[in-house]
This record gives sequence, structure tokens and C-alpha cells, in this order.
Amino acid sequence: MTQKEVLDEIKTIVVERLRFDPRRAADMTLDTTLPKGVEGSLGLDSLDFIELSVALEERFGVVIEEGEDLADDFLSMDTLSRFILTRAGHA
Amino acid sequence: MTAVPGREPTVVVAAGVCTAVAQDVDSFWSALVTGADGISPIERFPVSDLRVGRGGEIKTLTRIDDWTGIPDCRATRLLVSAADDLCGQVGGRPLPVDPRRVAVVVGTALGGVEEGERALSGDRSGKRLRGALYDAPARNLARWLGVRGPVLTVATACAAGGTAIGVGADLLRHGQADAVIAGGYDILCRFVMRGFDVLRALTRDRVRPFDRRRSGLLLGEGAALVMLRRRAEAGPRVLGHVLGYATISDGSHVSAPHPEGRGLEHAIHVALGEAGIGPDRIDFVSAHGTATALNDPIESGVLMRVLGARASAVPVNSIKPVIGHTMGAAATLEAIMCLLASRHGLIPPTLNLDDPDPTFGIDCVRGAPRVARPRISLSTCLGFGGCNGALVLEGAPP
Amino acid sequence: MNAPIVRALGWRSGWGPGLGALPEDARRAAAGRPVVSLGRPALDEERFRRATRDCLWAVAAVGAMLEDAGARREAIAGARTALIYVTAAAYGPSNRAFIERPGAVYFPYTAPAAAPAEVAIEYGLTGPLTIFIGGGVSTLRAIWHAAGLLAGATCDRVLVLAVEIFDECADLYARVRSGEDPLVEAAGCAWLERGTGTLALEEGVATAGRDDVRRRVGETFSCEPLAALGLRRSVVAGAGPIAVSARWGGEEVTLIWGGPTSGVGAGMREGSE
Repeated sequence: MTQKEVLDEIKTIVVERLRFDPRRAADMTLDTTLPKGVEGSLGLDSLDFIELSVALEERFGVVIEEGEDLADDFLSMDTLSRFILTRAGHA
Repeated sequence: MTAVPGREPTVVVAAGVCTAVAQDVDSFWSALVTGADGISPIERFPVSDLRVGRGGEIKTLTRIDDWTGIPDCRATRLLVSAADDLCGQVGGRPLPVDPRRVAVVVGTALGGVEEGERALSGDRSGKRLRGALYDAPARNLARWLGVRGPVLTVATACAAGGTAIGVGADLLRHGQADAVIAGGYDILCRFVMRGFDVLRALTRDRVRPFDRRRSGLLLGEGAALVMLRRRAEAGPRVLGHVLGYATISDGSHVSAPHPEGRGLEHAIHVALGEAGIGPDRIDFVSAHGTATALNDPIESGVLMRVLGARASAVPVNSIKPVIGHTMGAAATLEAIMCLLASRHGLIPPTLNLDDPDPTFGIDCVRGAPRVARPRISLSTCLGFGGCNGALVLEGAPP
Repeated sequence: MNAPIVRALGWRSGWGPGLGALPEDARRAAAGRPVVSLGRPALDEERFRRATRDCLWAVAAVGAMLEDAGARREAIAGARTALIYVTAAAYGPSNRAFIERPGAVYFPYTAPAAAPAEVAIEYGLTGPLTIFIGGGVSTLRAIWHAAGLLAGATCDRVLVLAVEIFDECADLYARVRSGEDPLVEAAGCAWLERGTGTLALEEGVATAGRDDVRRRVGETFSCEPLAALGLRRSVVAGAGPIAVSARWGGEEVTLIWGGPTSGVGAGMREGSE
């Protein structure tokens, strides 16, 4: 699996699970940041990150433990897609 | 007794409980001070697909032998069980008050939602569907009690058991009733277990409030009720008084409390203001204490600010490790615990708190009950939707 | 108890915005439709992307109230505004969705507390909050509770907000209702402030006036008393007493505004909706 493929899957999750407008998702690049409070980010809050984690587990078969500090991994589309590739054993 | 001039405190005449560790008030107290553990694997519905399948489940309802005429609705049955305990302390049913002047005010996070689950999974009876309305269990309780006064269901999420006591006190104050049966309830069901499971809020470990190793909460089920009267009508033997209450919105987030606990702090100050006392009068704090990563630091931070220099000297506990987080019942159960602490001169320990987080700076009671006779207690509660609650209670001397 | 003044009232229903959109006869206007839906309000889609329709209409009703008052949102922001949210069943659709859809959805939105939470976040409300579950009787008790809050010192104004959403559960209502008034989705919000008239709440009685309101609005559970209040907007200060009744769950309650300085309707701008 390539980073581009992971990125596309995350875009789908952003629309289907996080309920963003498809046009907003289409505009997302590897540079797009995620957490609320970061300028220009998608603006995800704690509830979105839980939803996102569940969706990533289901889609990629990775395991994300509660209590893990993943703030750095969930910072941007780039860090998140790399994290998925590592966890899924593709990196 | 303390209260704002012209504002008479509401009297708590009696209480009734139904929990995983006890189905009467005396046994409830014993369980809290002896370190009973009400957490067990859930057996009543399937949980094998969940990350965590444990909670404070009540295995058998032991008080009522014959459920004939009482709806087959678990929420109702927990309420009736708690009410049966309460009625036993005031001479049984019917209550010794004109039934038209007795109000029922109960808080809940989930109402009759399990009836909705049943209605959507094959049980097509209209009765089942009507039972899914969140106010159905309170009406069933009023019917069982044989009372015909106002019936209110309060749904300030997991703060509801505190809001209900406050709203009940207001009904008395404004002459809408001469006695109020107030409290809260919630049950363990697939709906709520899935919900908290998916939120990753449930721990695989024990519930450890204010502990360095805290890793989340476990849910419990229960019901708790108190009978409230005006002072002139209360009689000589009482459990204590409700001096003040507040439920405050923090306008911050749909599920997480304000990051600095602004709403909780405001709620405490409003409740103290209603009680007519300052924070220097607080002898004991029953914390919400869910043991989640988010709750405990926020709550301890608020207590540090409210109590100031006394923060390290005012005992704090959480009884959620014993019975789980009983949601709508929690604040009422904790209020009852506060009043019992005053009566017995003991503060129950926080079970499983082995390694207190040193960053908190509050005095958590742990290990064994502490010998102390708090007069004024503060009980805090938080819920989804930015609901922040505080109750200020005064125990009656033994 | 002192009667509060209704400074403004926002109203949205399946019949259209404002009370002026109400038909003379809801049954006839529904023409056999069991549910008259509100659809979705025009709110920022990204900001409210998670919110369920009950939350959206709660926010929209408060917006309509501000419009009616001719006030900006700053006028209600802060800790001096109390919020009382009432609903009988607006949480039904979110609860149903969570029960029926096996995947993870936003669980906190299943709580009735989600709607007032979105209102509090949107308008910056950080004052007292209460949530009552039930029909019109609960709304009247909420107004009574509001009068008590205003009599105390904890707030300067109280918003009594009621929302009912039915569409997603229309098939379930069909199981338990037949040949009755149409279920009409609605959201209303009353802005109450301290007044000098008298307020009385009578248990066990309902006035005939209620039937007139019900005939026009249809079945709106908790929202009906707010429509009744709004329909009496032509009754201005001094013209009381005004009675609003409700029935729900075997209870009957009538709230009576009285006294020489009754303020119901005062401050509510005629025709603004």
C-alpha cells in the first residue's frame, strides 16, 4: 500500500465518518493539518479523533490502544498516513 | 444550619438505593466502608464484541418478590426497588402525605432507551415503544408510589441525579408539592455499553480515580432516591439538608468538560452562594472522580482553586470504583453517601487508589475509611453536553 | 410567584417560519401526512457536520428568537443567561440511529443534553442549565422553574427552548398513533425576563383555549405552549390574565399570567416572523 492510497482512504473516512463536505476532503493534501486550534487545519476535536481512530482500525486492521499519546502522529495527513503504513506493516 | 436569609434549607427525610453492592441504604453504607467491589463481568446482555464487558451490574433484584403490575422495564424496576427501600423508612406505602401533593423528580442519562432497543429488535408492542420515552420510568415510579403530584424527568446527562434534587427542592420552595421523591437512575444496556466502548472511555483495569495509573471508567447501574420535605413538615429524625445546588452549562464541547473546568467551578460557587456559605465551610468533597484522563486533573484543579490553601486538608473521595459510574443515579448516590458520612463519622475510601497522582494536590481518602464527621459536604458531578453540577449538603447529627 | 415577561419568541415549524405560517386547521392542511417535517435549517454545514437535527433546530430557534427581539447574540452570551431545554422525543432519531447502525457514530449526540450543548456553544451560554423531558406540561413547568430562577439572583434572563423532531421515526409513531393530529416538527424559544405580574400554576386543569392552539399547530408535544404564548402576542401589557394549558402523561397543568402589569407579549415585535 502506498502513502497516496492511504491518503485517499483517509479522505473517504473524512467524508463518510467525520461528515465533511466531499469538496473539503478533495482539497486535502499531505500538508493538511488535523487538530483544532492549528491554523488552517481541518479542525478535528477529541470526539473526531476517536471516530477517526475507530475508522482507521476498521479500514486498515491496525490496533490503536486507548491511552496512547498519538498527538504527533495525528498532526497532519502526512504523519497520519505514515503512522498507518508503519502500523499496518507496509513501511 | 446555614442558608441564605429567607431561604430555608430543604430537609432530606429518608433515602433509598439500588446498586450492584447493596439494595438498601444500610448495606450500601457497609459496602462503601468495607471496600466491597461491585464490578463484575456483565451477564444480562451480550458484550463479547466490546473491548470491555465489565461493569457494576446488579445480578438479581432482591427486594421485590412479586413484580405483577410493574412494567417489565429494568429502569422502572431499579427505581421501584430504591423506592421500596425509601418507603420502608417512612412507614411504607402509601406515603404519609396527600398523594396529590407528592412530586416525583428523577434524573437520567438514558431514560427508557433499552425499551427502544427492544422495540427495534422485534418486540413490536406499542407499550414497549412508549416505554422508550425518557420520562416513562418516572411515571411508572409515580404510579407505583400512588402519588399524583408533578412528575418531572431531568436529563442533564450524568449530572441529572444532582439536578433532580435541586429541582425537587425548588418545587417545595415554590409550593408545588409538600413532599418530593427526588433522585436518579440508569441501567446498563447494550446502548450505553457500546457508546462508552466506542468512546474508548472504559478501562480494562480497575477504576482508579486520582491515581497515577488511572486509565478510564467503568459503568454501573443503579437507582437512588431521597424524600425531601420542608423543615416544618419534616419531623424530628432526618438525614440532613440540601443547602444549595447548581447545574451550569459550560458552553465548551458536546462531550468533554471545559478544559479548565470553568463550568464546574462556576457551579460550585453558585451552589455555595445558594447555601449562603463560603468555600471555607466545606468539610468534605464527594468528587465526580471518574478516573478518566480528562476528568481527574480538571476536577482536582477546580477543587484546588475553590478550596485554596485548604485544598490539601479537605478530604475528597470517589465511590465510582465500588459501583461503577451509575450515570443518572451517580450524583444522588453520592449525595446520600455524604449524608451517611456525617451520620456515621466516617468517610469511605476511594477504592483502588493505590498510587495517588502527586500533581493533584488534593487529600484523597484511600485505603481505609477516615474517621471524620463532615458537617458540610460538596458533591460534584459532570455530564455530556457541558452539564456541570454541584450540591452543597449538610449532614444531620447522629 | 412573579410572572416573567416574554421579551421575544422564536418559532419554527413544519408549517414554515414563524407563527404566521400556521394553518387554520392542521389536520386539513396536513392532508393525510402523518408528519410535517422541518427539514434542515440553513446553518454552517462544517461547524454542525456532526449535529443531529434536534441540535440544529435548537440552534435555529434561538436564532429566530434573537431575530424577534431585534437583538444580537452578545445580548444573551455569558453566565447571566439560564437555559431550560424541553423535549418529549427529539432524541428519538439519534437514539434510533445509534441502535440500528452497527458502526461507530457520534454517541454523545444521542443524549438530550446535546441540543442545549450546541446552543450553549453557539451562543456562548455559561449560566444555569436544566433539561426536562416531557410534553407541553414540562414546558409549562419549565416556565415556572424559569420564574423561580428569575426571582433568585442567579440569572437575568432565561431561555425556555423546546424542540420536537419526528421524521426519522415516523414509522414508529405509526405503530402507536392513528387518525390523530399530524405530528408537526417544531422548535421554539422564549426569552423570559423579570416581570411584575403574577404567575400561578394550577395542577389538574386545562382550559379550552388549548384546543384552539392544538387545532392550528397540530401535535408538537413540548412546543405547543410556546406556540400558545406566541399566538397571544396581540395581548399586550395590562390585558391579562392569560392562561396556557397542556396535557401530557396523564397530567394537566395550566399556567396563568395575571395582575395589572402582565407582560406577556410585551416586547414581542408584531409581524417580525
